Amino acid sequence: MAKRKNVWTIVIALALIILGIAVLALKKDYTIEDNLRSNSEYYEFLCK
Amino acid sequence: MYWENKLYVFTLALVAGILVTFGIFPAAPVPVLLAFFAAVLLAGLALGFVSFKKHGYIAKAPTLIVFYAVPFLLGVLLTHNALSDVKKGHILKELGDAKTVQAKISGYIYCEPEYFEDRVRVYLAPETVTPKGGEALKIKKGRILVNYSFEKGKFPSFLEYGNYIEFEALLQRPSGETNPGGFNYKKFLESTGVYYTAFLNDRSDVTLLSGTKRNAFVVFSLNLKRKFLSTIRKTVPYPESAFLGGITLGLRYGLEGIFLPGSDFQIKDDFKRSGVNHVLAVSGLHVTIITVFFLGFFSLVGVPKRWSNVITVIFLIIFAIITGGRPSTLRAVIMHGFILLVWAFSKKNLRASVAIGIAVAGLSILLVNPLLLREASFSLSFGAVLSLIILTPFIDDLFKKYLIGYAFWAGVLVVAAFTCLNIVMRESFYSPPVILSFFAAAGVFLFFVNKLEERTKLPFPSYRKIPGYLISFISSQFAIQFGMMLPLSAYYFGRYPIAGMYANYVAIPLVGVNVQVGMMAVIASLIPVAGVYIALLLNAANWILLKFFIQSAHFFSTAFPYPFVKKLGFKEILYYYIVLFIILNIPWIKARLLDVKYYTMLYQQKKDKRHKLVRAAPLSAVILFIAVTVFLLFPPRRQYDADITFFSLARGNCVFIRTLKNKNILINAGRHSLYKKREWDEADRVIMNSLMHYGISGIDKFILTDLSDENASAASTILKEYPVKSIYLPTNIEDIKGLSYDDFVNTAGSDYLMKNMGAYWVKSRYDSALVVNKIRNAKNIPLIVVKTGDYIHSESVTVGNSEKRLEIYALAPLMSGKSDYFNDNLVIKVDYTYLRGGLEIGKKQFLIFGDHDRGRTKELLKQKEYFGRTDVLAAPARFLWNDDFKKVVSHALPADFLFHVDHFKQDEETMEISAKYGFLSDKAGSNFFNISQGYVRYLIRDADMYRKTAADSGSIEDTLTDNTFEF
Repeated sequence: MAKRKNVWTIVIALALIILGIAVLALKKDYTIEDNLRSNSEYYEFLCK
Repeated sequence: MYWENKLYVFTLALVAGILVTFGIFPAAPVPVLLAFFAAVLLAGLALGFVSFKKHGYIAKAPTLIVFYAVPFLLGVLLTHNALSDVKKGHILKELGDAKTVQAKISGYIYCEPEYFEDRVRVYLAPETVTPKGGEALKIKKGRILVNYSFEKGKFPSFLEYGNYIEFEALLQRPSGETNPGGFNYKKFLESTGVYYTAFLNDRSDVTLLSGTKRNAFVVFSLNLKRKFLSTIRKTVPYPESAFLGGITLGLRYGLEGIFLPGSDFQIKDDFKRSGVNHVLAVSGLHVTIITVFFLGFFSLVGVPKRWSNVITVIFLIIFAIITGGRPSTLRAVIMHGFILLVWAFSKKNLRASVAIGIAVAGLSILLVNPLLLREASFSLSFGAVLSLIILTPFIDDLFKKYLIGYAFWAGVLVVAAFTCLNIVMRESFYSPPVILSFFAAAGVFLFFVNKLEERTKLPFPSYRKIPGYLISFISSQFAIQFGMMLPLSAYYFGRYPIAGMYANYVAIPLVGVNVQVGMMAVIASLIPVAGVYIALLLNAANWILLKFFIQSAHFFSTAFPYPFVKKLGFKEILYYYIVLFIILNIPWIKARLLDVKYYTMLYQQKKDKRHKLVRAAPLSAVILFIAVTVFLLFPPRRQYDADITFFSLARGNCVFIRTLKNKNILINAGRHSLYKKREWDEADRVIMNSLMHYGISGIDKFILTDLSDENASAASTILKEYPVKSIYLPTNIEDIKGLSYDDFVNTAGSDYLMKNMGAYWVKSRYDSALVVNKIRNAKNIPLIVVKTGDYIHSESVTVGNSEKRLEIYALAPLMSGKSDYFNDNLVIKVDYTYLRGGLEIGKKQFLIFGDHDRGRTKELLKQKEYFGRTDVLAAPARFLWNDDFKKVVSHALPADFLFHVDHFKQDEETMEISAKYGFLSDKAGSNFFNISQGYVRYLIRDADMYRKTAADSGSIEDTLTDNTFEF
């Protein structure tokens, strides 16, 4: 049972990593700078 | 009794004591309380004595006293203390319970403020309050809520947890229930220890004093929160970042004012309408996800159970501080923390630990603050977890036993029928006779199909064959709906999100992933240098799932209605849970009935007359239950003939009239505004809420006196979501089809309006006319254009030799031929006449104004013969500018004068009213009612009229006359 849980954990982790890489590769404006720009009005004053 | 059961009994007895105090002893004097205590203790002693006499020993009395009486009395004592806790040093006592006080205040910010885009809500523990012209008062108890608004770029960074500040402000007691069935802001704030509010802005003089009062652990947690927020802003684009901030850090206000392209509703409203709004209220679900996340991680890296449980508890405490420490979060953290510790350090298994955990959580929260029991967040939070614990196994067993073969399909059919009837019948489905009939019919249908299944024994499909994790989820969803969502949505909100039954199958698993991946990302970001890039990768994956969540909430909110339902009262909720209790305990009831049968036979054999008593007991219970059912389904007819309520709105005049023949007439709809991302819909929040409290299922005549912002902008909410049979307006809005905004403004021929074309109060008329016309046409609601002399409603009821008449008609505007969208506004007259033997015994007259008009009052002055001495006159907004209106009032000399004042100019405008209209008191002994502060309701019975105001609930000072009648 524990072994099956570990397998599932690894599968989900890999799926997330692959999905994340795909998004970063395909969506050119998904960078830290672009995100900060889009969040310019979202609680900016709390993070200064 | 196992000690877990004893703990439950102890907690329930405490809850009973608190509830009894809310109902009976809120402000009882101490001698009455002591007498009550003495009575309960004497009853306990008497019970012990009787037990000793019968058995020779005191059988259960000690247990009874300890586990019933002590916590019960403790609940009474703590609640009474909290409700009347005004000792020396309490802010209320020191300020003499003043409604408003201009004062200098110094104190410290005792918890993290709530930050919005343009304002901060600061919770201040005052230490000194110096009223203007008075001496400094030392305050030991009672807090102040400071609303600080600021312009862009002027964020007040000094308003931080632990800082000492000093400022001058007008302290105000918050308002209570200002409308029937409305939210009691005063009680809500008092349950958190807040007794006064103050409004400041960036022009106010606020001084940051030296010194701080902080807890290092809290500071550490809040700094972590800012770091996590910074990570979210870097790794997730807006608006998904706002959603992730809401579900992981409790920053739910970040979702204000965000609309998906083409949507009429904000994202947060989509969440509400689709029944997934609970994901934004950090509570049990989030805490469970965090717990599973940390336990899973520690298990993966091989940390021993005891250590992993303790460390997880520490993280849960940090999580509670980060997310603002709301009651729902506290409940969940206490419960989970206790479960983890018991599970780690005792021999109890997880199930037993869970059973104890909820009782401990409830007990610990209520012992500290019993007032939280009446708050929605507490009831919903505990209601959810109790539903899961108690109802899920029952529903699981029920489904596994009966949903096989034909019965399985029958179950699917019942769910489909429930969904379709909701969509088709909407609000009318939720009247008690209809919904009870549906469940009764469904029960009978399932019973007969089950009988068919017993004969045919078709083995497939079967509920048992569904994968285990899905069965648990389905059963728990049903448990939540029946145990909490259905009854408590009706009780608290007057709306039921049908979509929730379906949307949560997507939302709950998805939010589990969103929160865990979000947590992983923010924790990874703590790694120097590479951390933020790991977080970027993780949140990039999370972003797709967050987007999917938002889109599915929007889909469900548009696919299903979000009907208004009658707000259930306390007795109806109690009845619902009694029925649920009976259903859950059918085996026990069957066993007790067998006992009754046995003892009846035994006593009959012994020719003992007690057999009659034994038989009478269950029979009496059944008769009582049927009587209560009938009483709730068919409540006694109201005692009055007509009911006229003036709702409390910011500026508009919204009036509800229930006529002699039970017709529902609504005048105006209030304001719907979106200002700086803050949406305020008076129709939704105020009017519909009160109508649901009254149990009104539709409007026969919807009168819009004008198209002004404060009277008509929220009309679309009522028309879209509620059955309306006809609309009355002074202008023909059908003409607006094809009219551009420029042409619309041009119709007035006013340079002033042309100059102000960009103003919201001009644009709002055009938008209201367009949307009302669009919805009216889509729903085939007839439009009746009303001019002077037109009767809007007329009815007469004759009983014996007495006759009662109610007439509603327009006194203005005069027929002008062309629609004047800016100046036409109705002045409504409501006449009630009581005749006996043809003679007029009593007459009540109401004069209701819509907008501050531009010359229409002059027309009214030409019709003085139609309104003589008036009983009630409701002034329009901004009436102080209109001298012609003063002439009308001088002629009408109303007994009751109802008006509004601007919230921020209250003192100034109230003084102006006293100066300008003070003659009413001298000439006519008139009563003045500021309906911005509370509703006024008139009940007419035969020749008498009674008045009830919001003040009767104890929220504002009242001016009750002899004719007041409490009902």
